[in-house]
Amino acid sequence: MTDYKKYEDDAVYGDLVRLLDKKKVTKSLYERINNSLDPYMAGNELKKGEIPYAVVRPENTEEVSTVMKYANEKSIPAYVRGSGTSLHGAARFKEKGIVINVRNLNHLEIEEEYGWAEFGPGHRVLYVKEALEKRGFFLPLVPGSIRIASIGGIISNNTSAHGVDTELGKPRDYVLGLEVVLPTGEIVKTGTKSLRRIAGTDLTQYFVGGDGLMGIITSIRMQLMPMFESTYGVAYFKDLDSLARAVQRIYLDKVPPPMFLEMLDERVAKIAFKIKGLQEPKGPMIMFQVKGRDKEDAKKKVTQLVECIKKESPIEAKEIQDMEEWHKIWSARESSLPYICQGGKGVFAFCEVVSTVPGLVECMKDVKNMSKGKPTLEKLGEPYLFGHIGCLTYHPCFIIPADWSEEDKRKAYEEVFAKEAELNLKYDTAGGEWGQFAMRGPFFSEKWGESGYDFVEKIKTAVDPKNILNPNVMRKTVLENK
Amino acid sequence: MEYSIDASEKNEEQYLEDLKNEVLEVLSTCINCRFCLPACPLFEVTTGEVFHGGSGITRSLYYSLKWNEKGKDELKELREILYSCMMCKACETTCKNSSTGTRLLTAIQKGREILIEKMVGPMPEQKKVLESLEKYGNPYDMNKSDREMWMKLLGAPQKEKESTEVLLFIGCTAPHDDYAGKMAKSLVKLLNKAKISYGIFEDEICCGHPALTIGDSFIFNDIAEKNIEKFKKLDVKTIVTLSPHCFDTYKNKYPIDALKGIEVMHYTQFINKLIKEKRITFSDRLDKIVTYHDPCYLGRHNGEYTAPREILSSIPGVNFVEFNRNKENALCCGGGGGRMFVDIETETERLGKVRAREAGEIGAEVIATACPWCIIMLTDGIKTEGLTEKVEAKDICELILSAM
Repeated sequence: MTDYKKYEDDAVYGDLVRLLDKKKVTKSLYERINNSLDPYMAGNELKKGEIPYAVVRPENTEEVSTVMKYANEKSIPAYVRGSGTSLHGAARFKEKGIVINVRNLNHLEIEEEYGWAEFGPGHRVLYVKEALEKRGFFLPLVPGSIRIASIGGIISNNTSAHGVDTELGKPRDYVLGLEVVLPTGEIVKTGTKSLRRIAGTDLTQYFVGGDGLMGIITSIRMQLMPMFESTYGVAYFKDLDSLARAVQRIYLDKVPPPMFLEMLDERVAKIAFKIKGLQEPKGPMIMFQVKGRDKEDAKKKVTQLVECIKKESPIEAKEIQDMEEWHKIWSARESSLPYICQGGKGVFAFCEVVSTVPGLVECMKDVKNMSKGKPTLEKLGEPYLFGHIGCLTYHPCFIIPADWSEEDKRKAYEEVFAKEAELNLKYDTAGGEWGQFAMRGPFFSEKWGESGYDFVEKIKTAVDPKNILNPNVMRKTVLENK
Repeated sequence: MEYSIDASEKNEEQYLEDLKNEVLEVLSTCINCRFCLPACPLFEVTTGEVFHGGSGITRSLYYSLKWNEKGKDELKELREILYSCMMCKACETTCKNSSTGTRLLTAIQKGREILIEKMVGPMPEQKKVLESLEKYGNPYDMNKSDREMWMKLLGAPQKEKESTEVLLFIGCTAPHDDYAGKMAKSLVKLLNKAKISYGIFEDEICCGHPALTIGDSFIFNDIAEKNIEKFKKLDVKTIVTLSPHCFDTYKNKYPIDALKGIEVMHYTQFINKLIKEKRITFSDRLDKIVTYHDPCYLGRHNGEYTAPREILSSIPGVNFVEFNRNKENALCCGGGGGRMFVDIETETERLGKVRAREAGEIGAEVIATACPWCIIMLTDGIKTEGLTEKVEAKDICELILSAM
């Protein structure tokens, strides 16, 4: 761990105010607190005094560069934040430093003739999605936190959440170029203005999915994706095994993959369906959205999917044509996590266990049994289970009672991540949503070896010699009790 | 957000400690997911601070209490954050629909009480409101005789013990403000025209809502006792309020037992019933494109989205269009939560203006609403946005009257 020189809060604030406009810098206690928090870390509360020197809100790339040059010169850690919705602490303030809040990096140009849009990282995903939809385009960024998550983090994590990778791809498949400020303050423009992708070294790829370690993304150029037609379907099963087998079959029978394919176990489905005023589900269930060039294409694909699923003898598998019914079912899925939280009167701890196609049935069993052998999780019993099963991801979820001590909550989180690592190592997989460092340092070393970990560390050192940009995201412990 | 009437009986220190523990317990379920931030009206009229929004406000409060912050500047800053909230409930609704269902408004409300106990709150302008409530029984520094005179001239019958079971509760804003006054006058005229039996208190005092939202439970308690006594004395069986704020206060904030047997209605619910019973009928048309702005205390706080819309649809000639953000997702006008009485420095835009623009975008000629504060904020928004030629704000009772 790097030892950073300590400064007085006011000294750093004073310097930043001299470098930027005063209204772009704040030393407000509560703004500093709120820029140090992210979800999930209920077991890792802020301690008094452990807040950043200041929060800056730059409005352009040059201002970000100015701040980074200053931070580098003074060896002050800098943490980059948009909405602060990272689920594993990737954007979390840890060492005394400066928080760079990118919310005001919010330009947006849609260049239909070129076939791309360019926007700032501070936009909420939903805002850009709606702006593109008005022009007939789809934004292929689909996090569960679409309303609040900001785009910079999505690109830095290359996260795809609901999106089935073999159908929709990953964000990196759509990013044509970036503007990036390096930890030392230099500005790099990557990519081209063409839709033709670069062969060989493409600088863009160092930063998309770079876990925010290599630079600060200040502008994103992304290919426009024309809007399409969709069809929808649902299937209910007698048990989780046949549900998992049906998803396996979609891959093995070479039917067109859906764009989204989500699952709820029976316990979760019952809670969510009841709240949404839907009929009680007949068993564990999947729901899927299929995209097609036109209605006919989408219809054909969903029919093929339903027929394929029927081979695994579901209780029922059908296309949904009533959009109201689909919206209710989809929102039941979207709200399933809060609904089980509200029922359980607690906070959630969940993770991503990713399977291979052949491992899908066994992995489901492993996930259901994941509390076994973990003393804190055993107190909580079997996890609730939902997930993006279409892209082979299970989200086992535990509800930790709100009145548990911070220490017990922390233990539960540690055990969840330890078990996640164990299972992803077993199936030779890795999470597709939350980035590979932060809580996953131990996993990274195990999965890709010490040499793999050292490789990333060497690149990080070359780009960020003083280790000031998002330091401690690369760390070898699951949680740091600060 | 139930009010505990025995608060005054506890000793001060214990009272403060209990409040603190209550806030920390309520907030223990918040996971900082931030889903509530974009739902907060402040989020779109400020320059990017994240101490706004239900979670921003309550995390500020949470850490201030946990860390026992005593610094003058820090407490003053916390005061500004807590009192910036309009209590529109958009955060809490989002939290219930999409996250852990944390009772964010309860925490904010209790946080304000704590600041008042610590002699830090409320905002300076709001202190005058509390003084006025104590002195005159209304938040506007309006002396009792002026108010009574205004009420006498309203043309409504005085509620006597035997005269009627229905009390029309006018509230404090109508006698104080011309726009809200027009609204009350329209309601009285239309009830008179339809020969509905009702009465008012000419010496009416506030329901206590401003004291409660500002965080002074003692003043609220005092007001509540006076009102309860009067309701009982004059045998009130139904309270019909002009304002959704009074409606919410009587319906949800008064001790349940004290108002047992008294039905509390907002005037849109009362009128809608009368229209359905054909006791109010229309003889004229209103050929206008009309949208409806949901007052937060009628909509999100009490789930009443239907009655106002049914009334508007029953007026001949009304071409009804919805705001893009409507019902549960409606944008607040900016007047709730004690914000009628105070401006917050960090705001760069007024919500009334945003709402006026939104009405323009959907082609509405009239923004109908059903709240004295909304009508003031919306009228002001339309004016400052320069849209007076295109759109006007009208209360539903004015629209009904013009078509009767």
